[in-house]
Formats: sequence, structure tokens, C-alpha cells
Amino acid sequence: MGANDYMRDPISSLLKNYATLLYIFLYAPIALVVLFSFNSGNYAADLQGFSFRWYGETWRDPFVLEAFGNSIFIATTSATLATIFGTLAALALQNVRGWLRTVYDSLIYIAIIIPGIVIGIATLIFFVQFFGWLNPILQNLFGPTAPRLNLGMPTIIAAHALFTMSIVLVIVRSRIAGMDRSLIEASSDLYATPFNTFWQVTLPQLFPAIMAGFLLAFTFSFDDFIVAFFVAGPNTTLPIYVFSSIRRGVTPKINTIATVTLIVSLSFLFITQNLLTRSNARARTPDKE
Amino acid sequence: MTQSVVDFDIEFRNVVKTFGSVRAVNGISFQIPKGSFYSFLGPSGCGKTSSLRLIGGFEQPDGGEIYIAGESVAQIPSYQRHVNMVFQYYALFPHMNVARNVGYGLRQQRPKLLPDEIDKRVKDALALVRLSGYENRRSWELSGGQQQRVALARALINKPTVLLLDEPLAALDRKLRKDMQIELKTLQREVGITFVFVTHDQEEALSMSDRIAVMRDGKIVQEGSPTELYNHPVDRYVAGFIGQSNFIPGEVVEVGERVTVRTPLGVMLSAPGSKDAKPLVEKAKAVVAVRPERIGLWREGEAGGQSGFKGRVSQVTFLGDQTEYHVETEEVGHLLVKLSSGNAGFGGGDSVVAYWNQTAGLALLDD
Repeated sequence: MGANDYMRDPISSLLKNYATLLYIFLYAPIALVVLFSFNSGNYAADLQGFSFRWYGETWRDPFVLEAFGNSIFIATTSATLATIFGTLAALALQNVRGWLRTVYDSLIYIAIIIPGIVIGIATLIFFVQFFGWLNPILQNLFGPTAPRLNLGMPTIIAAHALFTMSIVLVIVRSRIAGMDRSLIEASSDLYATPFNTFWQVTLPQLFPAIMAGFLLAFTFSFDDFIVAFFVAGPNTTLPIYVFSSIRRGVTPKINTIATVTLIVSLSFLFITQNLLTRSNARARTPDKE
Repeated sequence: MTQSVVDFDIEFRNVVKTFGSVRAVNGISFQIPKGSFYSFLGPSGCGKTSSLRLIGGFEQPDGGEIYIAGESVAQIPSYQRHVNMVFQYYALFPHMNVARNVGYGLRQQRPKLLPDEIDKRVKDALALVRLSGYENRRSWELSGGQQQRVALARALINKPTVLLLDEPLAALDRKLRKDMQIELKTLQREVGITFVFVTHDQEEALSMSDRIAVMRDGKIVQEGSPTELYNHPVDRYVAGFIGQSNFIPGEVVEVGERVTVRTPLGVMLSAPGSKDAKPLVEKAKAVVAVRPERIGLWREGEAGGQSGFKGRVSQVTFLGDQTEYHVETEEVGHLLVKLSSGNAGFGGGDSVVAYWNQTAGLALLDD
């Protein structure tokens, strides 16, 4: 059977066409958004000509800039926290074995697939309850000048760190599992104390995975609308800005924001993927006989 | 005469190590003399690697005592033991270049060594393993043999009391393995450090070692120099593991200056007992072990006065300098015979007479 027989097979040619259609269905809307972001006309859906006009307009819009700044700050801070806590948890989990390990593993995967709306509601209720309990205490302690804790940037950061932590944990943990144990033994054999072995061997070996975890956590936080919407209080992130401005009608600015967000997310994902595959290829233990 | 304990670099006293229900090391005792090339030889799972890891401090014994240079190392972690290991797959740090790998041990020293001092010693260590100029390479850019030598340099630069080698040649191809055997032995003489070598390859052990411990099921079956092990194996297991042997099973009928063994077919064979083995007793199950190169072949009818076992050549394997003959005899069964290729010209199907001197065989306990 040659390649031609394969092509002529009706079922496989049908499937091939189906796959093409599927990809068009998936990516055509996104391609349209990118295309319309270069529109020179006044209306989002009316393509007039090619220009960078709306990128300029968006860049000069103080509300967009504020939301963008907030998003960057929230994503960076929450990803940093998630990376630190997730990595520490992964290191702690490496010595857990047996049924307890299964329980921990399941809980992590469940945490990843819990819908954003559930995390949003749960964290919102938690924060409201917690602040409702803490604020009177603070008032009693420091009088009427005491700070009142409220929803805002810190609560978005906390909620984001919470749900991206499990992503970091999974990435770092799989890297720990794939790491050559004999490297640690070799370091110990060469007179490095456990602490020095951690700094000089374990951490550099895990670094690509930690970095990848950070970038992925950043992307998730940067893109998130649902969780942020629940706990944002008066603050605005970029997705929240987009959502609220759409209610006043779609302007071409939305397309440029979407395109920029897309480029940021895709390039972070690309770097992440690269970090993981390259470092895993190098760390692989040679095949045993 | 008793030697003082300090003449040994390593001593085990009744050391036990269990993994779950498996006794990987089952109460072994031995001493490794200073400056010697000492090998643990045995099949996988015999406890040889566990013994090595116990010396390195990567495993803790469940019983017994381990001494390095005369001192008990019970409470001493691996990073405080003055021994270094060459790992089976080298375990070079992939995020460091060759120079940083080799200098790793020196950089851990407190008080810190001067960078110039470290650089100089790294250079010397790389020169020792003939890798000068490779300082800035990454480990994955090197061939297997080069990685091996980097691992050696990384260990030797610390001038350890003992160098541990865990099947370091297993990952190399045959030609390179031969070269490295010679190189390792030369290196060991040059640096004068005690080498403890683990292998499942008897040829490797025989060609390099001063002493060999043959292991089985977590115990040392026999310990001695290569020639002692080859010429005086204590039992069938060692005789079969070190070199090749023909084993003719039977029962001991008489023990005198020589041991007489009767085979199930009633053939009487006489052979000396092994001098290091427990003496054989009458009625014990035994084998007469004969090395293939110690059996001679005559063409039938040309045997003259020699008495031997009649048989037919069933297979001929030409090995270059030597030729292997598989001979089927009626009285003692299958025999493997190795003759120098020059003076043998038998073909498959030839009728022959196989014979050996009574002193060429060895009567051993069958297990």
C-alpha cells in the first residue's frame, strides 16, 4: 500500500477534511481579532484599511494602562508567591510515599480542575467572612484610625497564588521525579553538605521547571477573569476592563488588547515548553542495561 | 602474626544490610589492604554494589561495623567520608562544565582554597586522565570514555583514602573497555590509592585486581588473588564464575592424597581437592572440575598408551588463537576443550579421545 491508497481511502480523507475544518473553526475567530486590531476604521467590525492607529490609541488610554499595570503587578506577585510555595511543597512531597502520596496527588489534580467560578465564590466568601471577623478586632485594638481590610489587589493576588500554586507544584514535582538521584549522591560524595548540595545541584537542576512554573502561573493569572472578578473589589485588571468596556460596545481597542494578551500568553507558553523539553533531555538518566 | 588494623583501608565486620525482606548484604567481613586494587565480583543482586554503597555512606548498615582507615564510620555521613566514588553512569553535573565538575570537591573545602590553587589542581587532574584542554566542555558533549575519565578526575583530585568504582566500564563498548582496564590499572599504580571495584565481568576482575571477593546472595564465597581463585576455587560456583570449567558430577568414594569420585555411570575419577576449600568427606556429592585448556585430544587410534574418554567432536568454534571443541563422550558426557589453534586440526564428527592429567582436575563440593 502506497501513500496514494491512503489518500483514496474515503474514511481517512473524510477525517482529514474534518480536522482541517475543526482547526479553522478553532482559530478563525482568533485570527479575525488579530486582523481587526490593525483596522484603521472607527468601528470594531468594519474593516477599513491597515494601520497601527488603535494600538496607539490603546497605549494612550489611561484606564487601559492602569488595568494593564494592575494585571502585570498581580500576575508577577501571585506567580512569585505560587512559585515559592509550590516549589517548597514539591520538595516536601518528594519524601512522601504510599497511600498518603496518592491522596496528596489527587488533591493537587482536583485543585487544578476546580472551576474558576467555584474558586471565585469560595475565596470571596472566605475573604468577606475573614475581614468581617478581623476588622472589628483591629478597630478595638487600634481605635478608629485602624486600617480596614477590604477586597482589592491583595485579595486578587492571594486568590491567584492559591490556584496557580498547584500548577507550579505539578511541574516541579515531575521534574524532581525525573531527576537523576545519583547527582545528589555524587555531590554528597564530593563533600558537599546537604545544604550546599541543595543550592549547588538540586536547585540548578530544578531551575528550568521552577521558571516554567512561574511563567505558566503568570500566564494563568494574567488571563484570569472569573476569579479576579469575584475578589477584585474596586480594582480593575485587564480582563475585567475588557469585560466592562464591552458592555458599552465593542471598540477596536478591545481587539488590540486581545492581540497583545494573546502574544504575551503564547510567548510565555512557548518559553515554558522550551525550558521543560530542553532541560528534561539533558537530565535524563542513561538507559539501564 | 596479626596485622595492625591500620594496614587496611577498609574493614567490614559482620556487616548486614537489608532492603525490605531481602538481605542484600548478609553478614560479611573482609579487609582491604592499603594501596591494593580490590574487586567485588558477582552476578547482579549478589550484594556487591550494596557493599560499595555502604563504604561510600549512601546506605547505612543494619548490623555490624565498617572501618575506613581504622576508624569506625557508623555515624559519619557520606559528605564527611574521605572516599570518592565513580558512579556507574558517571553522574556528572550537567549544569557545569568539565572544569567545574572536576573542581567540585575542592570547592567544598573549608577553609576555602584559593581559586588559583583549585585551577591548578583541576589542570593537573585533567592531565592525569589525558583530558587537558577539555576544561570548558559540557558533559553531554563528551563521549562515554571521556565522561568516564572526567568522573575519575573529579574523584581523584580529592586524593581520597579509597576510590570506589561502581561498574564504571559497563556502559562502554568492548574495545574502549579493554583500553580503560589497562588505563585504570596504570592509574592506580601511579596514584597509589586503594581502588575498590565492583563488576559482574570476571575477565575485568581477573585482569585488574590484586584481590577479588567473589560474592553470592549477600555473602563472600571466596576471597583471594586472581591466580588463587582460578587455580583453587573453593566450590563449583566459584570455579564456574571465574573462567570456564567442565563439571563432572559424582559421589566421593575415597579421600586420600587425592579424592576419588565415582560418576553415576561408575567411572572412577581421581583429582586433588582444592587447598582452600573445606575437606571433602566420603559419600558427599562432588564434581570434578577440569579447565577446558587442560584437556588434550587425541585422534582415536593414535592415543597410544594414554587412557582417556572416547567421544565425537560435535562442534568446532574457531576463536583465532584458540579453537573450542565440543566433545560428546559416553563416560563423562559433554566436554568443552580449548586447544591452541596451531596444533589442532579436528573437524566436526571426528572420533577422538579426551584425556587430562589426574592433577589437572579439581574435586569440589557440589552445591
